Order: sequence, then C-alpha cells, then structure tokens
Amino acid sequence: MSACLVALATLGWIMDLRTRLQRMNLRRDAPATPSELSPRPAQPPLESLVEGQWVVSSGSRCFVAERLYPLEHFCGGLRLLDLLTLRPQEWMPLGMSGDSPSFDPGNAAFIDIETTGLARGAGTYAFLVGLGFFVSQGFLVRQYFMPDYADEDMLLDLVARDLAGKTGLISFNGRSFDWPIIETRYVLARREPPCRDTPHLDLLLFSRRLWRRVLPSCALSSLERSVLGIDRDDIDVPSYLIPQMYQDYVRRGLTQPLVGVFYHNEMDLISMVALATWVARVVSSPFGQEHASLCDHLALGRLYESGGRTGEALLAYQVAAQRGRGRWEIDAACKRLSFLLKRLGRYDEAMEVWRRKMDGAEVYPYVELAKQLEHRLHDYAGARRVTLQATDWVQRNAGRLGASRRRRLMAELRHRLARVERLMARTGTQAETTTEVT
Amino acid sequence: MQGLQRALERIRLTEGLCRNITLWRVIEASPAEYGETPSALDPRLVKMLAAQGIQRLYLHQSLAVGAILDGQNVVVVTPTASGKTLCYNLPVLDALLHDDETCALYMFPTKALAHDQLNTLQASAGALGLATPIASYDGDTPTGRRARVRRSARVLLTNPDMLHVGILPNHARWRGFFGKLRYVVIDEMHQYRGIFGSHVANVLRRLERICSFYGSEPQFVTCSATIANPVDLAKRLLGKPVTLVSRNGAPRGKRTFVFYNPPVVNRELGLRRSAIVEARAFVECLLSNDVQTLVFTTSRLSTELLLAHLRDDAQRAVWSPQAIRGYRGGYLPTERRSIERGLREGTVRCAVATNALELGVDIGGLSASIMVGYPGTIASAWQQAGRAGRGLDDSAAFLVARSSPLDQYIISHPDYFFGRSPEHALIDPDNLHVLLSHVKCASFELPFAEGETYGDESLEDLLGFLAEGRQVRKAGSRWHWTGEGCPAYGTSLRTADPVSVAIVAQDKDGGRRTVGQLDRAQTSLLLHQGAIYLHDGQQYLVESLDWDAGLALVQPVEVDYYTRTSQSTRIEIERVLEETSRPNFCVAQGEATVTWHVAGYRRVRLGSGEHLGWGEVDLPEQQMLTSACWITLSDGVVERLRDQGGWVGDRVEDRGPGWQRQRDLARRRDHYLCRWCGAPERPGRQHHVHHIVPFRDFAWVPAQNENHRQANRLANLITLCPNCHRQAEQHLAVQSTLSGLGRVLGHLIPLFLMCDPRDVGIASDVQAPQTGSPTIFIYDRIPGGVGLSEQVLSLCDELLARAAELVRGCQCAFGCPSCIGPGGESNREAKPQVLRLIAALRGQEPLRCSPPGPSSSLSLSAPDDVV
Repeated sequence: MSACLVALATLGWIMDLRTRLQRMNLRRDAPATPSELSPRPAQPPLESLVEGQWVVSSGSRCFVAERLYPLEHFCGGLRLLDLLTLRPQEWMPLGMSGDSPSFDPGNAAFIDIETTGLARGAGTYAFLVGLGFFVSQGFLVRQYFMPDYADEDMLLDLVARDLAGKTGLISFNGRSFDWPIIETRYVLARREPPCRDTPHLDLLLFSRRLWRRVLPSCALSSLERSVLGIDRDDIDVPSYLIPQMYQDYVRRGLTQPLVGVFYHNEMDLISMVALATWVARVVSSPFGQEHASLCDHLALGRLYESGGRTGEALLAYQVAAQRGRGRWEIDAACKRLSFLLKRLGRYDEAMEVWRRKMDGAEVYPYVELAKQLEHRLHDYAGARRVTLQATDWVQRNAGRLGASRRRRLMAELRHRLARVERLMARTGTQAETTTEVT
Repeated sequence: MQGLQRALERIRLTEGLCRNITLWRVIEASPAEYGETPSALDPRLVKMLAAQGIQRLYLHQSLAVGAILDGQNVVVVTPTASGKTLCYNLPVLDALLHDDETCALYMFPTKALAHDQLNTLQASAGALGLATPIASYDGDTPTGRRARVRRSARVLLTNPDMLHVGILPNHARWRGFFGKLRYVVIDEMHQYRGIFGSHVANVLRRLERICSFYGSEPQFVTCSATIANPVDLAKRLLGKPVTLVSRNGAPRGKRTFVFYNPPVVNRELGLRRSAIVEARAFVECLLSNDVQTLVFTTSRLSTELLLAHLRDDAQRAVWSPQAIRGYRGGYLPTERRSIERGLREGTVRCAVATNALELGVDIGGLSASIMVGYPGTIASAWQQAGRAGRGLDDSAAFLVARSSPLDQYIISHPDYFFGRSPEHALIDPDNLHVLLSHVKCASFELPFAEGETYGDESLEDLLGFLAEGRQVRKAGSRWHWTGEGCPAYGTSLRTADPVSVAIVAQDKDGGRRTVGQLDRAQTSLLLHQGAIYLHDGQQYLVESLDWDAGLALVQPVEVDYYTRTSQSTRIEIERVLEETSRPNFCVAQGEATVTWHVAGYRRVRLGSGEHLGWGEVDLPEQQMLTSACWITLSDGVVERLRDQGGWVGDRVEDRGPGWQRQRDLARRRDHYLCRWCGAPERPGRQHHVHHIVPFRDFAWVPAQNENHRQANRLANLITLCPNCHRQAEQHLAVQSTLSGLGRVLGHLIPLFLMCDPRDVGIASDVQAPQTGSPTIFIYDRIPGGVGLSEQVLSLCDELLARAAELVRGCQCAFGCPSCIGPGGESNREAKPQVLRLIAALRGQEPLRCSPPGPSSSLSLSAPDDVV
C-alpha cells in the first residue's frame, strides 16, 4: 500500500563529494558550544599566565613550566621530605605486583599527564606531561606542554631526557592510563619508549587495596579530602573538562582556561608525594594510634600476606578479628587468620578459630575441622560428628545457599561421611552418641 | 549404509510423501582427486600429515598451498567438509617452522568457529613440537589474560568486531605482532557481504595501514562457500587481486537430494501445509531406520515447535528423548558442547538446529540432513546439506519448502540449486557512511599524512568535512583526531548509519538486554510502536520507540500475526551513473534520495494473511541518500498494453455496509466539486467518489473482518468527476500492475544478491513526473547503498525472465503474497496483467495464462465507484 510520488531531479547532474556528504544527514559529533559562538575575548599569551618559557627547535615548540618546592613544604599535614625518611623496601613492595624491586623515591619520577581525550588508544595525545623529582634543594615540578599536535616530537624528546636514568616511576592510575598512553606516543613517533622495565608504583592500586572498604571513593580528589585533608584552589578544573580546554586553546587560542589545567596537573603531582607518604606510614606502623581511622586491618593483613610478611599479617588479622567493623569483617578476618595459621602449620590455633566460628555464616569451619580430625588426628568419630553437624548446618541454611550449591555441598559431605564411616568400621571405632541427622 | 537405503525406499513407497516430492536426484559418488605436495612445503609437515593418515593432498589443497607458498593472495572456494582448513593451516605452520617469530591473524565471523579452529591449530602445532603461543582474542577472553595474549601471541584467532574495536585502536600494544604479521586468514568470506562486508573491507584497509606502519605486508588467504562472484568479492574486500582455487579434489559419497513441497491448503492465498508438520514424517522414517539426522529450521521458534513434536513421536516410538536434542543460539556453551559430543559419538540421533550449527562446528559425519524451509541463500543451503555425509559415506539431504516466495521459487527451479550459483555477494567499501566512519577510526589510529589515500573517494575532501565538524585537525602536514573518545566504539559493523537504534528487550523479571541494533533507515518500518520485530527467530513486540534517544524497548512475545507498515515513499533521482536502453524499456542506475513516511501499520495473521487490525504511528518523515535502479516503460510498450487491454481496471461491486453514507459525506465535504478539475456536479448526475488507497488493498472479507471501515474513511475518499475518475482509475490499474511486478522483483532479488529481503526497497509510479512514464524503482534500503541496486542493472533481463516464471508457476488463483501480492476475487485479471507487462517488456508475445475460473471481461469505462 505504497503511494509513491516520484520527483525526478535533473538527470545527469553530478554531485560532488562535499555536497553528497552534506546531504547524508549525518549528525555532526561536535556541535558548536555557546562559548565558541561568542566573540573571543583578547587572550594574554600563555607565558604571562603560567611561569615558564618556550623552547623552540627546528620549527617545533614546547612550553616548559618549572616550579621548585622546598623540602619542608607542607602538604596534607606532612612535609615533602618525609617520604625520603621511610625505608622503601619496608612499604613499596606491598604496593607493587610480583617481583618488582623497590626503589628510592629520591631517584624516581612522579608522573601525571593531561590528554586530548579520555579514551585509551592510539588517538589520544598527552598534551601536558607533568614530572616531579626530588632534587637537592627540594621537589621540582616540571611541566611540558605541546601547543599543537605537530609539536609532539619536541615534547617527547624533552620528556625522554628528563626520564633517562630514573630508577622508578610513581603515578596515580598510571599503570592503566598515563603510562600506556606515553608509551603509545613514543611508538607512534617511531621512538624508543623511555623507562623500559623501570618499576612503576601506581598509588591508585595501592590505595584501593588499603582503603576500598573504609573510604567511599579512591579517586585522587576524594583521597585528598579524606586522607590528606587538603582542598584545592578555586582555579582547579575538573578532569573531564580538560580535553575541551585544550581544543579551545588549539583552535581559538584561549589561554585563560589553561592556567587551571597547569595548576590541576601540578597539584596532582604534589598530592602524590603526600599520598605516597601516607600509604607508606600506614603500612609501616599499622598498629599505632595516629592514623587508626585509616587502618583497615583486614586489608592490611591481606597486603602483608601477599607480600610474604606473615608475622605482620597474623597480627593484622587478629586485630581485625577483635576490632572489626561489623560482623562481616570479623568473620572474614577469622577465616583468613585460620587459613594462614593452617598454612603455617599452627593447626591447634587454627582449630581453635574454627571451633569458635562454628554455627556462623559459612560451612568451612566444619569442613576444616573434619579434615583435621580425620587426616591428622585420626579421630574418626569426631570427624563423623562434625560432618553430621555440617549437614545439619547446610539444611538450616538451605535457603541462603541456592539449590545447586546446596546439592554440591551435600554430595561432598555425604562422600566424606561414607569414607569416615568406612574408616570407623575398619578401625573398630564406635560412633559417638549424638542426635542423628538424616 | 543399509539404514539410509531402507529409509529412502520407505519414503519413496509412502504414497502421502511420494506425491509431493518434486525432485529426487542422486549424485553419484566421486573419487578423490589428488595433487602434488608442493615441494616448498617443509618435510616436517609432510611427516605430520602422514602421521595423521594423510598421504597425499587433495587437488584444491595442493593448488592452494602451492599458490600461497608462492606469495599469492588466494581465495579458496570448495564445498563444506572438503578440508579447507588445511589450505591455510599448512602455509601458516610452514612459516612458523622457519621463523618462530612469524605472526598470523585468523578472522572468523563467530567466536564459536574461532574456538573450534583454535583446538585444531594447537593440536597441529603440538604435533610439530612448536611452542608458538596460539590464542583466541575476543569478547570471551578474560581481562586478566588479555595482556599476556597481547604480549606473546604469534597466531591470533579473532573476529572482525574485536579487530575493529579492541585491537586496531590499541595497535601500539600489539606492535610486536603487527611488525611480524605474515598471513591474514579470512574464513567464511561469503558472510562478509552487504553492510557488514562493507565495514569489514574497511577494517582490513585499516589493518593494512597499521601493518605498513610497522613495516609488514601480510599475505591474505580467504575461504568462501560457493557464490557467483568469489573473486570479485575477495578483490573488493581485500582491495587487491587474488588467485582463485576452486577445483575441489575431495571425494564424495553418493548423495540423494529430495525436494518436498507440502500440498496446497488454500489456493487463494497460495498457502501450503506447514513445513514443520511435514518434516516430522521424514524424521520418523529416518530415525526408525537408525539414520542419524540433522534438522535445520529457520528460527528458534520453529526449532522448539518441531522439537516438541518429535519428543511426542519419540515417546510413541520408544526412542530415548535424550537422543533428540535442540541446538540453537541461546543454549549455554556447555550444553552445546555436550550436544556436539553426542552427535560425534552417536548417542544423539537427531538434532534440531538453527543455522548456529551450520558454520564449521565439528559434529562428525551424519547420514541425513533435513532443511525445514529454504535457509535464505543457496550458499547456506549447501552448507546445511553438506553437514550430512562426511567422507565416502552415502548421505541424503531433504528440503521441505514453506509457502514463502523464495522457498517456492527454489523448489520449482531446482536448477538454481544444482547449477552454477546465481548468488552475488555484494559490498561497497566506499559507501560514504561506512567510509566516513572508518576514516575517523583510521585517523584515530594514525594521523593521515598529506597525499595519503584511503578508499576510492577523495580523502582530502573527507578529512575536510570532518575538520568542519572539528573531529580532525590539520597540524603541520598531518591530520590528527581531535574528536571525543575513540570513534570505533561508536561504529557498529552491522549498521551504515553511525546513529543507530538500539533494540532493548525487557524480560519479565525486569532485566534488560540489548537484542540488536538497526539503522535509522529501517527503524520506522520495523520498530514502530506496536510492530512485531523478528530477531533470531524470536518475536518481539515493540512497546515504545524513543526516536531521539535511539532506543526501542521490546518484549519477547509469541503471537500468531506479523505487522506491515503502510508508508508513502517519494524518490528523487540525484545522479544517473549508468543507463541502458532496451527496445521496450530503459533501465538506469544511480543515486537517489528516498523520502518516506510511515503513517500506520496492519496486523496480519500468519499463515492465512487475514487482516486483524490497523494501528497508527506518529513518526517523523525520513530521508536517505542511497543507490537505486529504475526501470522506465517506453511509450510504445504502454501503447501496446493499452491496445491489448492490458491496463484493465478492476471493479468491486460491494463496498461494505455504510458505503452510501460515506460516499455522500465525501461529496458534501468536497462541496460537490471535482477535486481535480473543479467541475461542479451536473443536475441529475452525481460525481464519483474515489478511493485513494484502493478498496481492495484493505482485503475486506464480508462477515470476517471490518476492514471496509478503514477503506471507507473520509480521509481515503476523494470526489472526482467521471472524466477525471476514468484517468484516476486507469492510473490505478497501471499502478497495481506495476506494483505487482515490483513485488515479484522484490521476491527474486534476494536470490541473486544474497541479501535480506528487507534490505531492498521497491516503489513504483505510473507517471514519474519528469519522464511521464510508468517506472519501477528498486533501491538499497541502506543509507548510501551497498551495491545491490547497482547489480540489478546487469541482472535486469534475467530478473524479468525469472519474474515471468515465478508468476506463471505460482499455484494461487488471482495473486497471492508469494507472487504479485494478494488480489482476491475482485481482480481476476491481476496475474495475466503482470504477465502481459513482463512479456511486453521482454518484447515477447504475451503468453497465455489461464487463471482458474471464468475469465472476467471488464470494460474500460467503468461505472461509478471503480477503484
């Protein structure tokens, strides 16, 4: 039922590509913003707004801003210098994966970049690379800014020179964002990426492991407020606006908003020093009083355990098991504590924990006790009793377990029961008199 | 195989089955044809093959391996189960043996296929003692493993979507891989057609660009099912010449093909008995003779229906219910694996599957396959039939036809199935929508340099256009991406328009999941509120469509009707690219702007075609620039048809209750003036009242439906003087003949162009304003077009010949949905008129077509109220 009206346009008239593109009715992805439509106010040159200078070489330009902070500079209640007083090997390995060696923050580079987009991938450029290092007179923040896309080479050159010889990198979310982008930039420029195989400490990952459960957010701005207790100036800009501000500069020469971008980047670097110090302190003296509110001992215990520091791990779990915030944390701490004890061969202590945790929210204390009784103590009657108690527990908690998990558990328990009873028969052990459970 | 022979014998002797068998063809066994093992092949590989029991390579394998080792880009076209995998695995393994840093990329259309091939390849590499990391990389790869795959994989198995969105935009993290990339293997190439293929061609362009950045120039090996144009497709897809290997050397057992056309149950509508019901008889015959059987259906729904029937049968026949299994998308992977294993081991005797099983997945050799309904393309049909009969065993394949036009065409023209494939897989990598999307993606991946080229259009202009939209910026001599985010994330390989509509299903428990995406161009036709949308065999009711947000909320339903929109379409030719004249018509191809507006839709009962109701929709008018082809009738042919009485109007006597009243209301509304020429009524002679949309189109059946109410709405009526009415009515007669032919062409085009019927739009007009001649338009219902209508130009004569066959061969009485559209008693001349038109176009004498029943003699000067 198609009523069709046909209008033949002039035959043979050839449209050019531009006209065809316009006719395609494509939504332009970037509509003009009101600020773009308004006349551009007179813009002061960048060097009059941000302290720094232009470096020019063979037609390529880069703006370099530098600021030296004294070592006694206070940030988040700490001096920048404090980080250097802590022994790296005591805290750093806990924040890095696997076999990364610890390194001296005094000879490392703090790094933070601002990008042309928020996506990872080959088309995102780092237009501002901020680096921070400890130097003899203080902490030096150096920022490299590329004024246009064609000037990237110069920026990469200067950054590589600064990074040469650094024995470590410290960043916030750099492992998955900043550093892959930096590497990609060098690859695309057909240059060797700097700092190959240099150990990299990502403070976001470290903070998450420590504080995920005690802090509402582990974003840097939120850590600044809740851990470091600092507030930024009004000129700071939110990260998500930064790509647009760069476009405004490149296309329309708007320099004013860049002041906030440089400030934002610089503050990120300074905060990283303070954050690193806090993290180091928390893990170095977890049982002191001065930062009790920031100590999640369960999380600390897991950090120590994965770092092979079992003594501290046991201590931390014990603290969490006693002082945990709520039932869940206490249960979790007991579980980890008991398994660590078991791993260390301290079976009696482990069994003590399991006995205490019977009739809790999980079935493992019964199962573990039964294993100990059966395999180590050859107390088959005891093992049988505990296994029966376990089946009882499963039936009482049937609603929470879900059908398939319940079936699996019951099958396992029945299997164990049958084995234990066979062993009892073979060894002539008498069953204890307990309430029989079907 | 004794069982199979017994089963075939029984089918042949069963009166009820035998009567409806339209074809019984036996293809005798053919022996293997071997070729030389290429001397360049590493002896370790020859040894490995010998260990697997392969002493010699089949002819196509030897030719393909030889050509690949010789450095050529190759396309291999051989049937299912002919050992295609070896054609590409041997050269890849050979390269790995010589240099363990060599890399290869395998691209499969589905994840399942990639995983299947992963196992094969790993086994071969293991047998050779190669420690080369071989990995798949797709949506199922756990995040934790991805970094390791990126770092270490030398052979990577992936799919086009992952390459497009996951790998290419992050190429720097794959630099080791791209730098050493030697082979790109593309299996199931014929799947890359239409808009999907056009996108994939661009993904490959981007891949090559990245490879050349890292200094590699990979060689391409592609495999395809049999289609008419494998070399052309490969050339367009890869952008380079290819060597064709198509001489199949694999042996084949004796195969019996049986085509079965269920008996007609409704002549008017051309309806036949349900294919699902009929298929049961075959399954019963085969299973009771212990023949392992695979049944293919075209939708999930029919899979479940048939399965339920078979389970009933199983109870009676005391087969184990576990011996009969379903297999379709939506089953859990573990469930699927267990069914595949059951099929291989023989514990599963019958599987009812959708085309999910068609591709590659190894299920061993079965003895029989039954297609319940033609699967849409001949290539697919062969792949399904090829699932039966591995090696030299005897096998049988059955096709049970449905009532649909394509099924009926295939079943009555078996030469299409057995002859040279007529199917063209078409793509247009330079479709402007597609091209522009990928220019964005490519500029994100690497800035374009001045003077660089990409595709066949002017890159400078494309980048200039993007620069105006502030998505790229020219700095120095290069164009840099400055848009927001990564453009690949916003580019679906399944739609032309970057702004597509997401189809989101709301399940009963409130959960939401995305079912698919649709181009805006098809949205108003398929996803308007109230529409029944069919996806992967499941029916969904469209609950709401948010045009601006690009979101259609749907709900899975099971209903016995479908929906059809009624729309008005306007076509404006923008540029003519090619034009050829025939004696009786002129056919041209070019670009056109199609404007359409959907005003309402009808609910039509499945099967009977009965109209169940009418719904209105409120959607904006839409427009797209696309490619089109149009056939314009010459003046001579119009004259001749007029002389032959070819343009006969049809008359309908009964307009339903209340007609007189509506008629008077219309005349009063129009102030008793002719709406065309303005003439007032003369005393004693009333003007006529004309239906704008013909009355008969509403398919009113007295006492069965109320459709006359819709037809007799005032909005559908117009007052005309007798003179003007005669013109209008003649237009309508021509219009209905033209649209009848258009409809037939619409049925046939998918047969040649491997497209979904809804990818092609058909419109016709009695008087195209400029030429003033009757014209049929065929256009790509895909923004920018993918070359479908372009191909129609060269296929035009063939299509007209087939159209005549189809109409003549259709067993309906006066036109049905399977041929020219429902005509009904009211227009007994519709079929002969379309046939006369085709004959006139082809310059032939009109062929006699005698519709059943007395032929009507209608005069041109119709009385009042002719529609």
